[in-house]
Amino acid sequence: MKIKRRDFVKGLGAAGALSVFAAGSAPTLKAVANGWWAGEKPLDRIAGNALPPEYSVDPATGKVVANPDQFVANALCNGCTSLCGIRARVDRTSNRVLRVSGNPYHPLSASPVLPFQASISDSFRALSRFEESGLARRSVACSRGNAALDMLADPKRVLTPLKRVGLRGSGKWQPISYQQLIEEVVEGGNLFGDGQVDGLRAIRDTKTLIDPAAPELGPRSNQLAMVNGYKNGRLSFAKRFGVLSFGSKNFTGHRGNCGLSMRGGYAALLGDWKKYPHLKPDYANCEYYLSIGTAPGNAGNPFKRQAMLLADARTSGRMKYVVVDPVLTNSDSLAAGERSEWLPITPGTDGALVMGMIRWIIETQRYNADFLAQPNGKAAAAAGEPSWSNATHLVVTDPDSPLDGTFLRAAALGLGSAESMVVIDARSGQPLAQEQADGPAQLLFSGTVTVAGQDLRVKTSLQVLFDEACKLTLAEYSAACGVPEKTIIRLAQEFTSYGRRAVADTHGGTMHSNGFYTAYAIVMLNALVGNLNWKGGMSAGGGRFADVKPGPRYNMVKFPGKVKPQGVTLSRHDFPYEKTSEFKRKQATGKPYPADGPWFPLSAGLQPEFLLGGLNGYPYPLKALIFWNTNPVYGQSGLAGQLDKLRDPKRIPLLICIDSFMSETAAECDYIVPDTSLYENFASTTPWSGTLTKASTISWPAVSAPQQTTPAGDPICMESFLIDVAKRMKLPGFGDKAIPDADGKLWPLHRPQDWYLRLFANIAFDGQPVPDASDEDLRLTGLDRFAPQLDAVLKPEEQRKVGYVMSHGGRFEDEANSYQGEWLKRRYQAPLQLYNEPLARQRNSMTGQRLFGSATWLPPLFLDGSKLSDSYPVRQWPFQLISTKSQYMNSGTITARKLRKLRPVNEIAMQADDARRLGVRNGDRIRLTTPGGQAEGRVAVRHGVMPGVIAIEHGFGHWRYGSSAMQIGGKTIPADPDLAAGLAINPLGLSDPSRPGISTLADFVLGGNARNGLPARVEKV
Amino acid sequence: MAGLNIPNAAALCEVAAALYLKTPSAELVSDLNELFEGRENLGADPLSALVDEYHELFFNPAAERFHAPFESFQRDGRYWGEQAVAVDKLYRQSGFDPALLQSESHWQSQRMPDQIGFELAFFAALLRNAESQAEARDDLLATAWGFHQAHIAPWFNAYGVGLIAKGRTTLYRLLGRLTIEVSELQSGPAVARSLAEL
Repeated sequence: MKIKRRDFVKGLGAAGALSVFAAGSAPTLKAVANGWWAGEKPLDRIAGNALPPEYSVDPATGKVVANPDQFVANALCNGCTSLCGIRARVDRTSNRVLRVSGNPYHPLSASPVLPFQASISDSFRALSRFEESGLARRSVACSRGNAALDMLADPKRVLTPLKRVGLRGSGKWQPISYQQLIEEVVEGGNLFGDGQVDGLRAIRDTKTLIDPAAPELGPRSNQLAMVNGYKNGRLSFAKRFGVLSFGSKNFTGHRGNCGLSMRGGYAALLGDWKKYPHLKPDYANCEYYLSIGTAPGNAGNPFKRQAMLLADARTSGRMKYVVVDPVLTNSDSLAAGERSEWLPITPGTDGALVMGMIRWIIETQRYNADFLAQPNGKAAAAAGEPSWSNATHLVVTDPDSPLDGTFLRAAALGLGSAESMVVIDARSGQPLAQEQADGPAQLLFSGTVTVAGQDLRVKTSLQVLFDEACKLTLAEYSAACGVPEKTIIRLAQEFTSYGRRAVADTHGGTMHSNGFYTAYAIVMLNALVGNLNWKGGMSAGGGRFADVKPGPRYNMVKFPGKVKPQGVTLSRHDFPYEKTSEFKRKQATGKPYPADGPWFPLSAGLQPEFLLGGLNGYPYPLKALIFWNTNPVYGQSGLAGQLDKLRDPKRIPLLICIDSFMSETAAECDYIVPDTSLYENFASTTPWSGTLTKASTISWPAVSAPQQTTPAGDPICMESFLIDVAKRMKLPGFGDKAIPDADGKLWPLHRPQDWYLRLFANIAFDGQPVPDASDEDLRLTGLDRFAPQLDAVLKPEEQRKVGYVMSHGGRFEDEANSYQGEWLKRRYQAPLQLYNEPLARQRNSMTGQRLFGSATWLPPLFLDGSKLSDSYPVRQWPFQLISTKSQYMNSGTITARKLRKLRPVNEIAMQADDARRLGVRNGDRIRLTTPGGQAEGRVAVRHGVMPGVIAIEHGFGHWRYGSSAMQIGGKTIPADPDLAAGLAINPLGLSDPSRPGISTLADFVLGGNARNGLPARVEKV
Repeated sequence: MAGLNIPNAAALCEVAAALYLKTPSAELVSDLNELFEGRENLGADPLSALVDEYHELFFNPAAERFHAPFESFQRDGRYWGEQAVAVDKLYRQSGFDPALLQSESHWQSQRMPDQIGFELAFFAALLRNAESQAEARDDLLATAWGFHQAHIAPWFNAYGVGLIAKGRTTLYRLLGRLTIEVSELQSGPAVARSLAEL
């Protein structure tokens, strides 16, 4: 290179294209004086400054030498909702978690798992080079799990009870004592200088009706609601307080803002609207995995296990998977070659794709007739089937009959009992009581039967589904979803080419206003290939050991004075509108519909409608609301734009939030109660259904929480707060005589460990009791510190068995019990519902229209049945916004510094052709406008996005958590702009103008928050 | 680092950083031509070919000629390896924030600290600071020299050679050569000599 020096220097313009420094000048830097160049030496010549190991193992003898300064706690990670068992290395002196890896006993972290019988020192040995087992036995935690540790020592944690000063949401707080908190929350008073606020004592009235004219609403105790998060292993404790002790019907998790559509689809298919069970693939053995509205390893739980098995499957080449998603995620990989495929689709139209597939599958008879034709369990067993369905059961399809939409009962034809359905016997072609059939029945039948002298038109369930699927041609389905017709056919052909080892699963991507029927259609594909309970098929999971449910040692849900809550939930999710006083009143006027608000009688965990019910005072006014482990102000699409309503104390007079951080929801409340964070608390939970054997994951405080303590010495947290509130109110189920043992003797509940250690005892003694923990097990896992607690709470014979469960991070059944030949060993027993009668019995409370009883395709709708696209036509709203799952952040992890380092800002992805058309380049700022709001962000131009879609990575764009300034005790805490990085999609969410009052857009069947497919305009800024 | 012509070394690094961090544009090509005043044949590759090559070489892991521009990938075969953590720590300690550089938004959002352009910019910034802060000159040069030894010398030469082999356009073959020249700044007493040749 021959460049003259002077030319080179001269040629560098101050801010030209060849400069990288802003305005052409380098930033001012400091010298780094602690490098090796400054004489610094590492702690160890070989290991450098790496942390000293927690133990070492002699590779020749296997002798374990523990580091006395550390211990290893097998515990539960709450960095996301996967619920992985992890092992945390803890420094005894500094009370810090140093690193996190996987619990080698835990099925979500290791494969193969270490036998539960292995001692803790055996687990150390197994993870070492001794006998070269370390690599095969390795057990991992993901990077998020490790990075989330930052949250433990975050300076922005809430460490003391806070009470708002001035108006709600003003960001001004006053630290108060724990005693003041308990007193004010319980007793109420003129708490904020603007009038009387009822405390919990005044609200808890389990006798007096809220409204004597509407007795179905229940007693005044329902005017407290508890709105909680996901099942992180502590929810049962909160429920004991809110439901069983306080006596309120209003208790919910977060499902309605998360994956309710998916859970509802499975509830319909599995025929259980109470427990809402769900299925997951047998990941290790499925051969074709159709993932719609979720993306294995990128979204949908459990992330880590799915990612590991997916990586393994695509390396070994034994599985093909297709991800149907408007945006290309990390689930798909060019490295997998033809074994993975991304199929882009228009948001909210997955139902059209699937109904097209269903039409083709039934038309070409590619369904599994051997499975579907079995009319009862006995016939299925005789045919070698581990499950059965109602595909052959006759449904009345006669609009003129009051029986329309119901199953025809055998008693109506004089063929059998009133419980038995009717089928058409395959051999004789005659109607037969389903319960009496001993062989297959006709699958497709449409005809007439005579009941009480009247002809009734009937069809089999499969025929109903088929006829519904045939309402549109494949070309019409294709036009609706943007997937070519030949691709729909190819997908259906592929899906039906792998026998029982093809699976279809879904999750939060179906959170549209048509989400329920979309999810029902997707999971219906599993029924058509008959994969339930088969190796490589779908599993309802291995279940858990007894913990909260009545266990062998203690009954955690029964106690003297326990309340059975009465009435209707504020979310109107478990009660039909047609049984209300409102309906009767309106019916008398001849116009029973619409209701004053929507009712969702088949729903569960309907978080968004609890808030809306409270804000609207419908069906009754709410007086107090406790949030715990949840952040709906950020997470409920369309709510953030209506904060003025939440800030009005007349709507909900008392708002309390239990949280470790100043979340968007906490910031709108009257009181904030500190909470423990991961590794600081007790918990008991179970993995998602993809785990085939019984598993209970537990956690216990591996490190002490930093916040203030209660007078009893416990950190102020959800459990200690509720205990002390309950004791002040003298509520049943808390205090001296609270928890009955197997002999009926009552034991106290004064502190969190009183609950959790007994719950662990149930796990330890369920079935064959676990072995006793050795002194070494307890010492290596730091449980030696717990000896006084174990001694104080548990009976002598329980202590070491509970120690064993705690030291192992739970209890796990032997993986060898996963299969029984080609069947899963733990099988779902009830029949699959190709037609769901309870669904067909319900009506849309806003229109009076009966719901359809099987899978169907409907576009996104408002609650009055009108199409979103009619109100927001494409020509005016040419884009659709969707949220995508971040591999780094969730709604509550923005404070984790390492995560922000890995992902400082979220991606707002736009398809390359769209960008070209709008003149937008990668990195440009764009303005997004929806009917619900407006926001700006920096765009990432990609090819991996469906045209017309803007995909926004969730977890960023916070306006609280310290991203805005706040005042605590008169001291101003300045805003940290890093915490505000990026853009949040949910403030752009929609309301539903077709329903009265304050609303957010909802699925019209179950009420789940419709947070995807927001109509939008895009401009370059 | 005695004898090092600091402004020239800094300028060399800054030009190379810009070529790694920015998608080619008409302005960038024009500025390069002006800089070299025809002494360096930049060829007649159309801008679209330069843009395609930029993406192929540095962005697209599936491309045949992908040449991952990250230190830990080149040295350890992985992303976010120890080198990335180490340079990130150095950036923080010295007050250098790659997010404030003028660079392709992808690098900003991905923010892998050991992207070669960030390392070049950091080195250039240290040198420029050594020039502008007389009282801290020696310490800043020591930091720069330490950084060069630890994070530039071990891999820039091989990376530049690879880039020359993979590059199809004159621009990116030239960038390969510039990268090698930066690596050669480490050669102790030869530093002054090599800079004198610039």
